[in-house]
Order: sequence, then C-alpha cells, then structure tokens
Amino acid sequence: MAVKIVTDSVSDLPADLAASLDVRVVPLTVNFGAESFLDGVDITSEQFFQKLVAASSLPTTAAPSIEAFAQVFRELTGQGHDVLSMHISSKLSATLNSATQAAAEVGSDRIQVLDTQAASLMQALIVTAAARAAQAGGSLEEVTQAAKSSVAKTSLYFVLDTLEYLQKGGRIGRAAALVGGLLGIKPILTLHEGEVHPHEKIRTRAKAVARIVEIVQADGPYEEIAILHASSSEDAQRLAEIVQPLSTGLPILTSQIGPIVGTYTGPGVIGLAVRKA
Amino acid sequence: MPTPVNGAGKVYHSVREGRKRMVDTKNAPRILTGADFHRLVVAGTRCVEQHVEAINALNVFPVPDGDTGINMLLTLRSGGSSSESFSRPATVAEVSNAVAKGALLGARGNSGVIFSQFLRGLATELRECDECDASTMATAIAGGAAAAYKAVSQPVEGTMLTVMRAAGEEAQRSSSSSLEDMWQASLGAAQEALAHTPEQLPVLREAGVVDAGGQGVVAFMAGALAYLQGKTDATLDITTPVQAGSGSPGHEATDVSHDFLEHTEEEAYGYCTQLLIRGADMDVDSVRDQIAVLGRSTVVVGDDSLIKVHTHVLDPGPVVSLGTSLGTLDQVKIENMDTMHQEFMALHGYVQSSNAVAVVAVASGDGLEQVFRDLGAAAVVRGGQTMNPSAQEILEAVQGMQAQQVVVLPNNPNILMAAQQAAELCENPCAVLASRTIPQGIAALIAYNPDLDADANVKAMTTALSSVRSGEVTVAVRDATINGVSVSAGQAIALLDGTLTTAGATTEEALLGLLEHAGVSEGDLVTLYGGADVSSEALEQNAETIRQRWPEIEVEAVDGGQPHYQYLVSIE
Repeated sequence: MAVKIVTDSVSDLPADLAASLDVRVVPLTVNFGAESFLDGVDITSEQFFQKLVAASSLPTTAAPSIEAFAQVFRELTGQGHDVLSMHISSKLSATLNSATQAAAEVGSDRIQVLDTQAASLMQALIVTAAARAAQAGGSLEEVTQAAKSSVAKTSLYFVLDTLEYLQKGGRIGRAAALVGGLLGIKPILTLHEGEVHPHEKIRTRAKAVARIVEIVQADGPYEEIAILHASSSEDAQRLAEIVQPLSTGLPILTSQIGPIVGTYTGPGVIGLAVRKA
Repeated sequence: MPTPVNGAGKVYHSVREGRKRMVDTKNAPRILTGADFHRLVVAGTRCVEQHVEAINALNVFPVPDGDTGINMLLTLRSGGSSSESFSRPATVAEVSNAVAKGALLGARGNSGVIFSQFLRGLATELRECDECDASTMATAIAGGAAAAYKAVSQPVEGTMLTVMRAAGEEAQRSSSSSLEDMWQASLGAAQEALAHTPEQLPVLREAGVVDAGGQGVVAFMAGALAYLQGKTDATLDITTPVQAGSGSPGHEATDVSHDFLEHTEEEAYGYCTQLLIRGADMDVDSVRDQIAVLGRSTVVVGDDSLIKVHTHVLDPGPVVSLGTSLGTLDQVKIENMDTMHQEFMALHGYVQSSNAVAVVAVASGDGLEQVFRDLGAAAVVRGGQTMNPSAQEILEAVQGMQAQQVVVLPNNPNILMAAQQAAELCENPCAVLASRTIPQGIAALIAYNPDLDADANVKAMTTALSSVRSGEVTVAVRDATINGVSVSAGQAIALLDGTLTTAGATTEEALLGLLEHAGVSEGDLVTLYGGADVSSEALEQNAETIRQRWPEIEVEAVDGGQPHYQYLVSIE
C-alpha cells in the first residue's frame, strides 16, 4: 500500500533513476514514415538522432493509447496502490488526455492525473519531487500536493541550434516570431504555462548558454538541477560543474533527451531545468 | 474721386505716391502680406535648392554622407507647399503658421528639424499679424532663433544655431530700418557668424569647412533678400572642400549624393527617375521648369555642362527624352515607387494589436530591412545616411501601429531629432530610443520582447543599445586629416563609434584596421553587414580573414545591402 508515480517518456527520466525512485514510465511512440518505435523500448536516444540526421522527412510522435495507461493503472491499483500519474503539458501533447480517460475508464478514485505543464527534464524534476514524497510514505493527497507545489517551483531554460524542428513540429508557441532570422539568433526558450515562450534573444550559442547560467544563478538556491542535452555531453559536463554550487544537496541530473523531445528540438539542444528550494 | 481740399491731404498723397514709386522701381514690398511671406519663403527655398550640392559638400568627415542641403531643402519645400494652398488672400499669421506646420512635418535630418523649429518660432511671433513690417519681422527672426535653441537639448556654438542667433540680434538692432535693409543687415551678421564657425568648432576647422546647416540658413536668407530687393536670383558664394577625383567642387558631389534624392517629402508616386545630363550651354532653370511640369518632387541642379535630375513621374519616357535632346545621359535610375510604397504599407498591417509595444525602425538596404523585420520591427521606414526620412514619414509609420506604445529606433544620429519631432507630433505614446547606428538599433531590437510592457521594453532596449560598438567602412570622398588620421580621396576609411580611426588602400585593410583598433578579444561577436556594392563572396572572404586572424572571436556575415558603406560592423 503505497503511492505509485506514473509518468510518460517525454520526461527523459534516466531508466536507472526511474527504477530507484520506483517511477513507471509509459512510452510515447515515434514514427519515421511507416516505421514505429516505442520510445526507450524499441529505440534509444543515440539510434534516434542517427536516424533523425539521415531521415528525408521529419519523424512524428504519438501519445500513448488510453489502454496503455489503463493497463498500468489497473495493475497498480490491483496491487492496492494509489496512483499519481504526471504528464507532459497538455498544450504540447495529447498524453494527459489519454491518461485522464484511462483513469476514468478504470474508474478508481485512487488515481490522480496531473498536468505538470512541463516537458523533458523539467517534467522529470517534478516527478522526482513527487516520487521522493511517495517514498517518504506520503499519502496520495500529500504526494499530489508536493507535485503541485513543484510545478510552481520548477523552470526550464534551453537553447536550440535551429527553431526549424520546433516550427515544423507545431510546438513553437510564442517563439514563432523568431523563426527564419538572417542573424541566426539563438533564442533562450522557456516553458511558461505549459507552452514554449521565447525568454530572450541571444546571438550565439555560447553566449546563450552563459546567459542561461546567469539567469539561473540570479534565482537560487535549488533543491534539484537537471541538464538536458543532445549529443553535447562535454558541454553538459562543463555546465554541470558551473551550476553544482547552486544545488543544495542533490547531484546534478544530466540526461540526453529522448526521441520525443528530440523530434521537436533537433540535435543541437542544451538546457537547464531547476526546482527551487 | 474727390479731390483733396487742403494742403495736408496733398502732402500725404504725394508721400504715398513716392512710396509707391519706390516700390514699383525696386519691385519689392515694404510691408509683407501673407502672399508676400509665401513668396519670400519660396525665394529662400529656391536659393537653397540652387546651392544644395555645395551645402551637402560641407560635411565634416570625408565620408559620403553630406546631406544637410537636401534635408533643409526638403524641409523648406514641405513648408512652402503647405502655404501654397490658400485660395483667398491670407494673413501673414496664417501663411507663416502653414509654413511652420509643413516644415515641422517635412523636417528631416537634424538641420531640417532645427530649421523647422526656427520657422515655428517665427510663426509664433507673427501669430497676430495680418501684415508684417521690418520691426515685427526682426522680432520674429530673433524669436525663431530662440525657438531653435530650445529645440536642442545641448546647444553647441559654431552651428546653425549661432548663425540664426546672430541674424536675430542684428535684425533687432536694425529694426527701425526698412524691411530690405533690416534683412540685409541680418544676413550680413549671419554670414559673418557663419565665417567664424570654424573657430568655434574644431571639427569644422580640421575639415576646412564652415557649418553646413549655418550655410543653409544663409542661403535661405540670401534668397529671401533677393526677393525683397526684387531680384530673381541671389548672389551667394559657397566654398566647398575638394571632392574625390575632381578639381572642381560640385560636379562629383552629385555622385556622392546621388541616392538620397529619391526620398522626398511626398508620398510615393509612379517612378522615381534620376539621371545626369552632360551637355553644353544648357539652361538649368529652363530644364527645371520643363521637368517640374512633368512630375512631382522635382529637383534639378547643376550648371551649363552637367545637370542632375530627380523627379517622380507616372511615365519616365518624356524626362529621358528631354535629357537626350540636351546631351548624353549618365547614371539613369528608374525605380517603381508604387511597389516600394505597397511594401511599406503591407508592413503597416503586420502588427498584432495584442502587442503592448510595437517597434518602428529606420534602415535602408534589403538585408538590413529584413534583419529588422525578422527581429520583430512592425514597420521599417526606409532611410539612413544621406537619405533621412522626414518627421512625417516616421509619424505615419508610428500612427499605423495599433500598439499601446510605439518605440522608434532612428539608427542614425541625423534622424534622431526628426524621430523626436514625430513623437511630439504624435498623439499616441511614442518613445524614441537614442540608437545612433544600425548595430545599436539591432542590439536594441534583440532585447525587444513583445510579451513585456512598454516600460520594461524601453529599459531593456536602452540598456542593450549601449552594449555594442559600431564600426563603419567607406571610401573617403576627399583628402582630410582628422584625429591625426590622414586620408586621401579614394582611400578606404574606417570609423569606430563615429570617430575616424584608420585608413587603408583597400576596404579589407580598413576593416582589419578597425578591428585592430577596437581591440577585439575572446568572446566578442563581430557581425559584418556587407554593403550594396560588396559581393557575397567578398563578404564571406573578409569574414574568413577575420576568423583566421582572431580565432578566439565569433564572426558572422550578413548581406546588409546598405548604400555608401561597404561594411557596417557591430562588435559586442
């Protein structure tokens, strides 16, 4: 009898951390043409980016089915657990909708579904906060409360090499105005109320990363910090060293983004997610 | 008609006749009516037009940016055309007010703005006058000078302000003379003050020129005096520095200022047609009259061997034919302004009304205009060095915005005041940021965030514009020694933040010298904006040369397409 945390693969939560925090990750699907891959099951991050660079047309993504969630919910509630199912922003994906309908289908009042208004490691930081509260023995109400307060305390700043993927994937939000610039602007993007917003326009990637650090430094300290990247582990490592002093205890969570987030960011992304103390 | 019955009446009569005779002989008024005032302004404008190239050539730096003459001319024209429209005899108050209003709207360039303020001050003094005599006019000239001083936040002596003040002071001293004598004395004082401007301003002395704006004032006054004296043309000598590749001033100056004439005070209309006619024994005035009938915004300048024509016509054919009938044509340029106009208007509709803040930027060159639009400028007013937009052009763009607040980026020191004047004339909240260069304007616009409110944007944009240093590479139009840098005509020169920094045999040499002088270091981002006459290959090649020489900095190259400047450089 415990509270079990369910999330989706957009969280980019590393498998070992998911296992140690007892988080169930339901995969989304990425399609290259007629080929379908379950995120993290049929395809790894590395394989995805190799395919992405070689692909003639951009991949598409699909939310988990209602039944995929329903199975997990039935299994966990059947074992006598309560469930908090935490998902990618409903403004970016239909995943939350699937989970909500699955919860209704299972028909148990022991399942809570929460919109994290986040994605990628920002979502992961909300999930880890809830999972730790669950491991500490919190009730469903307490864990849900912890998750909700984490939503308000968590932010994400990231920079892309190109806005092309975000634009073609239709997830660009208010950053649309920045597309196609002659100057090659590298905007710092953020998630605000579950949507992609431009935070600041910066001319180069190096300056943008430095500026992200500055923004984050101005507003610490943090319970937990995560660095997301795609094929930039050296940059991520350097960034981790710089921001380590801002964290009150937990190690910096560094993760390569998965196929779902990668579909919309392309290969050149680097970013910092933080959860305030 | 009743015969006078006493001697006094006869005396009176004879005095009147005497005066009338005098007026008739000299064909000049003693007291100005509204119509006379209009003719005086037109005569002054005509004299500025006749000397427009010479006034342009009085630029301090040997860079191809002399446009004071054209700016004053277009400002005055806007004043003159708005006072033309009275269908009945109007008072001096009405006419001077119309002139001032037209000039305020048509003002372009700092000299034009200051002169429009002079005309406003003049009109303020004349606001109660049906007619105007010497003493009233003297007070008005002094009032105009005072208004011009007030328009400038930090007045500098040795400029057109000094010339206006001298004119006003002498006018008041001579206010009991006849109108003509008062005006002549006032002009004399203005000329003397003008001659002393190089002693007051070291930059003028170094450049060997008098103040161009002051020269414009003198030209206007000289033209007006000719009218008061009943003459057709004023006599006025202007000494200009020698221009590149020519022993005689004036001729090659037409090349230098070739582009800006297309930007006149009137709305785009038909084809902007420009050409040079080379011939012999040509009559400039007759050519001007013939072309003025064909088009609008006509400017015809030159001498009997070389005439420069600028006009806006629905059909350029007859203008070209007229030219070929007189001599050979050169530098023929015909541009469809309706297309330009449509593009401009299309941009006006671009703004989303939800935005708290909309940005209007001034730029010229396809690439630069695109950069400003990419970065979120809701409208780009064409203009820049040697083609300053009028206050009205900026005002129209501002008024086309639906945002709660408009921010204007003038991007040129000589457009700043016209933008401020537009902001004052505008009823909606409008802030003018002091962006003096294109790189500053771009830096400011990068900081623009449509999601934030006006105050936050103005603050962020103002901070951002000072984070960048601006370089310019161009070709010297004459020999000069400034800031200890000696340049000869035709050499490539570089300016850093408006200061002449280095000269070189090639633009590449000047460009590298500029970066050397700026002391670029690790982490700097250098952006090169290639000019209209720089090929993409040359631009990329120069960017590569810089990358190799300074591997620790980032270099970006953008095809700016700006006229006059081979390279605009931002260092941040």
